[in-house]
Amino acid sequence: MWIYEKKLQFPVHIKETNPKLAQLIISQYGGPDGESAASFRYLSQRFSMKDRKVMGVLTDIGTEELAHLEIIGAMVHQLTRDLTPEEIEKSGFAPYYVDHTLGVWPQAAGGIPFNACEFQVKGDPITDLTEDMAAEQKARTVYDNLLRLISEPDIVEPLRFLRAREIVHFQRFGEALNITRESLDANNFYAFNPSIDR
Amino acid sequence: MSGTNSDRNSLMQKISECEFMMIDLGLYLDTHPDCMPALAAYHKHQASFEKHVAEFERLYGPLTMYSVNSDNCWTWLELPWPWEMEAY
Repeated sequence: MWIYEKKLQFPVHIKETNPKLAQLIISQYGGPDGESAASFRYLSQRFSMKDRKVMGVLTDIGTEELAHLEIIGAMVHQLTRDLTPEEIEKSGFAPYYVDHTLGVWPQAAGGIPFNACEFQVKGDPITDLTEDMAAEQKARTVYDNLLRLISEPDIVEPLRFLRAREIVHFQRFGEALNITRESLDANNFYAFNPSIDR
Repeated sequence: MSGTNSDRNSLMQKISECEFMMIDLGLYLDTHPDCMPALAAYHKHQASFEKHVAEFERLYGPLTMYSVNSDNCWTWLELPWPWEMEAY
């Protein structure tokens, strides 16, 4: 069960619109390493985990990722609010605008629609947690790539916050992997899948 | 921890009932914000919800991470997760 809180986890107040940057930042909304992929990946992986602590990590990070999705959505919205047809045409935003007007729709920076394959659930705790550590690093790389292209402080600050959270989540998933290994055979962690083999 | 699983389940049932009334009335109030009878009904269920949640959390443990209040251990992980067979 979830409860909605009427606030952002990190404030977003972008003064100047910038549809070019919106088209890049939207990748963290609906791109392959974006926040929607992260949230549903973790929340879906929980069901086949065997350890209650690991279930907790996946629940709490999956929930936080939904808050991050909302931050990115707010950024895309503020970067594209009240655009005129001239601004839309000049900024290269027209192809997106034709299909979605000024709505926020999950796609990658290259225009590729969100793909549920990004959720990545294998039903093997070691496999899934290793996937999650890689996912946090991939998302961190995307934030690094964005930060290299952006200097506006009111855009940079929420991106820096989100980048830092990727690093914290990577650390927690590493600990969750260690917790999982503690209950396995240290001489052969891969002898069996604790979620299906007896 | 105290009380049996059936006490726990019946308290959870009460929470779920009040919560569902709040969700459904809240949805109605989103489109009818001036409907005073619905608002009064919302507050009635809200009061029961808060009472039952406080009772549940005192007896069995936190329902949200924000209501953890133990000084000496992290109680968030103690109750089963809702998809586990022993959950309420």
